[in-house]
Amino acid sequence: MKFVDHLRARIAYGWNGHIDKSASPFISATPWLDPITQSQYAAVLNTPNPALTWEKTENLNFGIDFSLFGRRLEGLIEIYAKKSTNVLADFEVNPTYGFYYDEATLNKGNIKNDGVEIELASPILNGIWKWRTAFNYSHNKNVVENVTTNATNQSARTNLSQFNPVAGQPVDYLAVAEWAGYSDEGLPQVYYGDEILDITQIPINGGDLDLLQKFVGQRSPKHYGSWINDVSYRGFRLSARLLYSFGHKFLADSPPRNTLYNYQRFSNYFTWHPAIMVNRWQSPEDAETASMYSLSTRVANYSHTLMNDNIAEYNTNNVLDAGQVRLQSVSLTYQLPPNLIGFVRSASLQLQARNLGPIFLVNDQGVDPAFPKYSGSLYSAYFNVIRDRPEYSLSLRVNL
Amino acid sequence: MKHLIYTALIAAIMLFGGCSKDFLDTLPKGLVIAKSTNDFRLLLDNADTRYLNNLAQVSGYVDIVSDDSQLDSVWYDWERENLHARKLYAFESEIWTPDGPAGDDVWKQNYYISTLVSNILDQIHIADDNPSLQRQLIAEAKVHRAYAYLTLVNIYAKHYNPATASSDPGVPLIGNPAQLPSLERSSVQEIYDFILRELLASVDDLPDDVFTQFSHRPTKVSTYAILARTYLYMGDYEKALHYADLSLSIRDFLYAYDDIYNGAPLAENVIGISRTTDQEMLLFKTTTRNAGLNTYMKLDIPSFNALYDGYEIINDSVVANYDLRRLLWFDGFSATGQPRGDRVSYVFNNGFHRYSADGGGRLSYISVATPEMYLIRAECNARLNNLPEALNDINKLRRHRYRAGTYTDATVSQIGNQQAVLDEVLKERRRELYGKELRLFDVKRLALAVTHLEPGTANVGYQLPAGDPKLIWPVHYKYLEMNPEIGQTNR
Repeated sequence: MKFVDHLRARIAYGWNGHIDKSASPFISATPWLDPITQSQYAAVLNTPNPALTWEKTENLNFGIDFSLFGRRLEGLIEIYAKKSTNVLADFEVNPTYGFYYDEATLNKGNIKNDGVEIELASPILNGIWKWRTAFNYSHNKNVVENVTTNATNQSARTNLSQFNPVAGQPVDYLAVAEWAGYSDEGLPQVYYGDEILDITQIPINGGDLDLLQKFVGQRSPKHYGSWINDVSYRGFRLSARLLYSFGHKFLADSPPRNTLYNYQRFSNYFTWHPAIMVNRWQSPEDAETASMYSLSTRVANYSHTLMNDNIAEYNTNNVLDAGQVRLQSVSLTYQLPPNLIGFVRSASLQLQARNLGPIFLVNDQGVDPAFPKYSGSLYSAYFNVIRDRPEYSLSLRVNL
Repeated sequence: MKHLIYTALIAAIMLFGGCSKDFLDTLPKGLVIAKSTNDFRLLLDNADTRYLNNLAQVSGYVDIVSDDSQLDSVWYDWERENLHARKLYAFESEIWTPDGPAGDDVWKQNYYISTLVSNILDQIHIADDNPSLQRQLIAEAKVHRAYAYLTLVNIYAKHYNPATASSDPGVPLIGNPAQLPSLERSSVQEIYDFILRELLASVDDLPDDVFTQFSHRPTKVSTYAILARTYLYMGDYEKALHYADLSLSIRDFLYAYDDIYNGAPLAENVIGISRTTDQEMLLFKTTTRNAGLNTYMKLDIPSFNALYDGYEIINDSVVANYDLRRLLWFDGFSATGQPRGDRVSYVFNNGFHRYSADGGGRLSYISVATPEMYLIRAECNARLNNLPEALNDINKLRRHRYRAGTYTDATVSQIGNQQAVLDEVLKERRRELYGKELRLFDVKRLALAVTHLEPGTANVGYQLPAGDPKLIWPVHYKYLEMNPEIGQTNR
C-alpha cells in the first residue's frame, strides 16, 4: 500500500484504583483554645471510615496512529470505554448520622464513560503559500448506574444536582419542570404528571420528582473540539482557531429571586437586565409573551417563593440548546526579514483578536451559552462586563 | 548608652525567645492526629460554645411546650429560625415546615455527640500510653453519649412507662455511624437500658469531684446525678434515691442567695461567675446556639406569683420579695420589687447575667447541678414515705434561696399527709428547676395538662390535655425524607 507511510494500531486494557485522599486511619482534628477554660481542645475534622474501598476504573482503549499520502494527512483515532465502579463521591447524608457537614464521602454507584477522540492534521499547501490545518474532535458519553436516591425536594435535582446523581442519567444532567404557561393570576404553571399545577400547588415535600421534573440533557457537550488553520506567505502568517461544541443544554435568564415573596419590599429588588421585569405578566393577554410571572400576585409562604424561584429557572421554556461554534482567536503576524537592522537578529509584529464570540448558535434566541445573562446575579453582572468582550492586542517582538 | 541599648535588646530577645518556645510547646500547630491519650483528651475537651458542634449543646426550646412558658408578644417576630418554637408553643401538629429552620438543632447536636463518641470509642484502643487516663476518657465519652440519649428519648418519645416501654418507639440508637445503618427507632426500654449500661460501666473509672476537673468533664458526682435522674424518670425511687445520695455525698454545695444578693432588685446586678468557678455545677451543658432561655422562659405575673409565692405586698408600690429567686432569676422588676410589665423573663443562666464572666452569646447554661439532687432525693423520700427526710432537703434548699431570716422550716405535722408533702416537693422542684429544660419531662412524667396564654395577653390561647402526644417533639421532615424508617410520632 503505497499511500501509507505509517500505520500503527494498538489496543490496551487496564484498570486502576484510587482511594479517598482525605481518608486516614486516625481521627484528625484542629486545635483550638477554649476562651473560658483557657485550655486547648480539638475539634474533629475527619474520622476514619473503614467502610470506604477503592474506586476502581476499568479502561479499554483502542487506537490507531497513521500518516498517509507522503505525510499529507496525519492523525490518530482513539476509542475508549471506561467503567468506574464504587465511585467515591460526596453525598448528602442524614444529619442523624452526626457527621460534621451532613455529607459524607461514600463509595456509591458506577459511572460508564464511552468516547472517541480523533485528531487530523494536514499541510494542505507547502510551497511559498503554506496552509496547515488541524482538526480534532472528541465525543464523550457518560452515564451513572446503580445509584438510588429518595430525594423529594425540588432542589435535589436542580441546584443540588451534583450531590444527587440519578441512575441512567449523565453525571451533569439537567432536570427541569415542563412549562404549562401562566395561571390566571400570572403565576408559573408546570405539569405534575398529567395535572397542571401552579407554583403554590406543587407538593413541596413528599412530592414525586419524577412527576415534576424531566431530564432534558446534560450540561457538558457530547461533541466538541477545535479546528485550527494557519496560512502563511513569505513573512506573513494568518491563523484562526475555531472551537465547537454540541449536544448540551443550558439555562437562559431567570427573574431575580424572592420577588414573589410578600415581605420582600419593591425597593429591595434589583436586576441587571431590566427587560425581563419590564415585560412581565400583567394581564392574561400577556400569557404567551410575558418574560416573567406577575408581580401583583404575591405569596406569603416562603416555601412557595422558593418553589417559584426554582421553577422560573428550571423549566422547559428556559432550556436552550448550547450548541455553538466560536471564533476563539485570529492573528496576523508579520515576520521581518532577518538581519534587516544590524543588531536585531529577528523581529515580528503581531495583531491578535481573541474571544470574538460565537459565529454560530443552535438556539435561535441568540443567547451565548458561554455568557448567559442572569438578571439577579451580581456575579453574572461582573462576569458579563469583564469577560464577555473581545480582546485585541498588537505586539512587537524583537530578538537581539 | 549604645551599649546599654544593645544589652537591653539582647535581654529582651532572650526573654521573648524563651516565651515563644513555651508558647509553641503548648499550642500545637496544624492538625491533631489522635493517637495518644493526650490527643483524645483534647477531643473530649471540646465544650467551646462559640461554635455549633461540641459536647455541651444539647437542648433548646424544649420547655416552650411546658407550662413554664407563657410568651409575650415577641412571639410575633418569630419567623424562619424559630418558627418551629412558635408552632410548638401553639401545640400545632406540624412543627417542621420548609419556611421554618432547615434542620433540628437539638436532634443534630445530640446525634453529633453520639457520633463523636462512637468515633472516639472506635479509635481510643490505640492510645495505650496511659491506661488509667485511657479508661477515664472512655468513661467520659460514654457519659456524654448516655446524656445525649437521655435528652433525645425524653424529647422525641413517650415518657418511660414500665408497662409499655419495650414496645414504645424511642429514638434511633446508632452504633457505627460510618456504615450508615438503617435508622429504625429502638424502643424506649432499649434506650434506657443502654443509658444505664453505659453510665454504670463508666462511673468507677471517673474522678470523684468536678472540683478537680473542668466542669465539662464527666465525673463520679455528675454520673451519679445522671443515674439519679434516669432512675427517677423510670420510676425506680429506691435507686434514684441511692444515686442522688451518692452524688450529694461528694458535692452538696448550695449558694446562699442572701450572700449573692447585693440589694438591687434587678437581675442585672447578679455577680458574674463562670463555668470554671460555679460550685453548684456538676456537668456543664448548654442550650443550642440560638436558643437563649430568656427568649422563651417567661411567665405571666399571676402564674409567676402563684409559683414563687415567697413574697409579700407591702403597699401599692412596694413588694417584699423573700424568695430571692424572684429577683435574681427574673428580669422585669421595679426598684421597689414589683413586676413592671405583664411578663417576667428568666435571665439567670444566660451569658449576660450570672455567667457574664463567660461572655455574651445567645445560649444559656442548663448544667446538671446540685439542687436537682436535693430535689430528687426529696421526691424519692416523699414517695417512699420518709417524710421528715424529704422536708429536710426542701427546707435546706429554701433556706439558701430566701432572704436570711425570712424562711421558717416546713414540718410534716404542719403540711399534713404524704401526698401533701409530695406536692410540696414537686412544687419546689418546679421552682428550682425552672429554666433547666427539664419541665417538659416532668409534665410528661407527672401527666399534667398544659395551658398556654395567647402571647402577650392574659387570655387562654392553647390547651393540651395530660398525656397528649403533642408533648412529644416530631422529627424534622428532612430527616424522615432521607430515612423514612425513623417513623413519625402521630401528633
